Amino acid sequence: MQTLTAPVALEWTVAGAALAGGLGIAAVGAGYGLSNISGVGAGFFPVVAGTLMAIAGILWILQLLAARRAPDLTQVPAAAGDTMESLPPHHASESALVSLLDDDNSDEPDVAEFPDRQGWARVGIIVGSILLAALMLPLLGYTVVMTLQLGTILHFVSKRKLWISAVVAVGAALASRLVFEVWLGTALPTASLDFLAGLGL
Amino acid sequence: MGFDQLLGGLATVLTPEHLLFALLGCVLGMLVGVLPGFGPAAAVSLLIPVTFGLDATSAIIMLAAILYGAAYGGTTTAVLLRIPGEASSIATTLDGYQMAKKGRGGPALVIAALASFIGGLIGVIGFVVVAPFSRLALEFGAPELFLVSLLGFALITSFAGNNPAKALLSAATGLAIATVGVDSGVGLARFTFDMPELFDGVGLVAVVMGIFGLSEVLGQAQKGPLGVPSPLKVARLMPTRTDLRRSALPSLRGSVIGFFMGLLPGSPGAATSLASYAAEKRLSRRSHEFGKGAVEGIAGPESANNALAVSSMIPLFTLGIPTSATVAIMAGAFTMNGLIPGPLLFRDNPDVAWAIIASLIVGNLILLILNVPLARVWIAVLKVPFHYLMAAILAFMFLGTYSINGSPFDILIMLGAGVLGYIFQLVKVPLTPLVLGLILGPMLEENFQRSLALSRGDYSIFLEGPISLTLIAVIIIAIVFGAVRPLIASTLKKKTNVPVAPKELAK
Repeated sequence: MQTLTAPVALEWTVAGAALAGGLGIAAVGAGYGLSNISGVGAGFFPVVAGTLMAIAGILWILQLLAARRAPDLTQVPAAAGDTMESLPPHHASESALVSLLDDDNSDEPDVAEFPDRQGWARVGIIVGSILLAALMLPLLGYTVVMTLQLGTILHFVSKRKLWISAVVAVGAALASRLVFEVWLGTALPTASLDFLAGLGL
Repeated sequence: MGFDQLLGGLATVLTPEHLLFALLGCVLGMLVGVLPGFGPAAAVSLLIPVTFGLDATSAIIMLAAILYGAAYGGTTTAVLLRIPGEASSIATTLDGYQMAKKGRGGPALVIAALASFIGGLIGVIGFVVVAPFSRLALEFGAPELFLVSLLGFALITSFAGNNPAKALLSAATGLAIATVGVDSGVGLARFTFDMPELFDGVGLVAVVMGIFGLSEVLGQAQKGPLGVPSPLKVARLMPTRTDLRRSALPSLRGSVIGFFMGLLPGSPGAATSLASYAAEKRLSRRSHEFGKGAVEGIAGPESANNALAVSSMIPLFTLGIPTSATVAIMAGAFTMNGLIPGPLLFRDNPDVAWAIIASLIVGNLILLILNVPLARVWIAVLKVPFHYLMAAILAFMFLGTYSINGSPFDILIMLGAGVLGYIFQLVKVPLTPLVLGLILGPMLEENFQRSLALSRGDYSIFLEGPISLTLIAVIIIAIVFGAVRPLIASTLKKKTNVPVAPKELAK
């Protein structure tokens, strides 16, 4: 019987979200109209996409259910949700055909190990800092926002000393501003706060 | 044949301006390509903003050079550090690293570069031979174009990952994202939530940067600092005459394998280079040397890899169908620069089309010259603490995404796509079908609507004519094959498989 480890719980969550999201997209899409005089309506493709998402979610949930019933999960990796797979990816074979057919020889990015609590924290800080930076960009301007974002990541994610983080962040923000504004001709946003705008930031 | 046009294209590329952009693209591509996990798709998506402000020809020449540069960068670290910068360099680690361990890192890199050049050259020759057939595609009507798009979609979804449900989810997610914006048929706003930024749809570049770039950064950051082993020495540079003789035929065979595999939608570079490796091992009289530093084990996979990189562009140039994530990103770059990938490109912008094809040769030549002398520089890059590299990449992505439309909204799109890509990676949902769904979705919808408008709602228009029927038959075969492929593969795998490069290698 499969236990509900964090990776398996995430699989359940994503599969459930796919089912719910797919049904939601299909329902909203149907509201746009499935047909019109010239053929299909604006809602036809959203309904198709939503339905396919929901079907994928159902199939995935069925796989996870089958895995829960399996006596030993490690013996049925294919049905048990792929995060439990034990075989290392990328295989050489004596046969060129097998190499081509082998699922593990795909070009997909390497699967990240499941993060521990510190890993989640690092990811969370990066995501949060980018989110805040994007939201504060019109208010604080590029230079301040980029300095704060880089400083946060270097100090809290990379565990650099505060002064090193600050120096590198200020240097990188100014250097990138120079490159984008002078060389690439991209106008970067300045602060809408009078105090900062007065400083040319 | 289009060899005259190719010469014209070469004349266009061999101007100081275009050569400079090709050189810059090669260097930047190699710089990103040496970073573990950052393959050509990530490199091109990260560096697209560098081409903003350039004219269309220069921008595409530079992006093509970035693509090649990233592939070469992956090879360098595969040989000297046993870290494949991308999945398709996995096969090169087997014998390349062993050669480097014996003090023959230089010859291994030169053989890899030469084989890559041969692969690229043969790929371009094949391209020139096949390109005129794109005129046939001009005869395609909306129903055939819809079915061709559907075929590409079916093939890629069938070949992605090892779980059809997850591949379907990825593709459907891409399709769903593609439906955001004002509908091209009746002009109705869909899933825009009254936000004007979404009326033109979700920006492809922002999504691609998030899916392939940010998700990779998050994956690396989660693991903490990256450890880089001590690199082996390049030592003596030039290969012996025996090395060159032994690698000649494998290079040619690898090129042929790679060229034809690249024509098939969804054929991954890693599988193709490993297939070439397997073929060489079987054909060689020195099969016992494979895995211990056989030059054939480098030449075959490297030429296959590069020939595939060129020929995978052919469906894009002839039919307008991207067949892999990297080519899909290139398709997006074409569109961004006002070029319509597909047969119309040869009709409406032949100079640009042939200049891009010619630039593939020039880019390979630049990389052949640069690859070995710069090997030490790329290794030095890897020694920069990952904290700083990560911060620099994040800053660059932030800026690059902002500069698409000068709007913070695109940064939020990139962030959302990055988080989605990261979660998909954690639960092993393949990412390529998502990007393909995003690119092919509008083509599917537009041609579907046009077909039904032509037939006044009669669905039998998709069953008229031999081309449509053939396409439908191939689509059905692709779907069935995709469903049974994992079973066939696992049955065959049990017999002779040897794990060669656990992905942990790159960590």
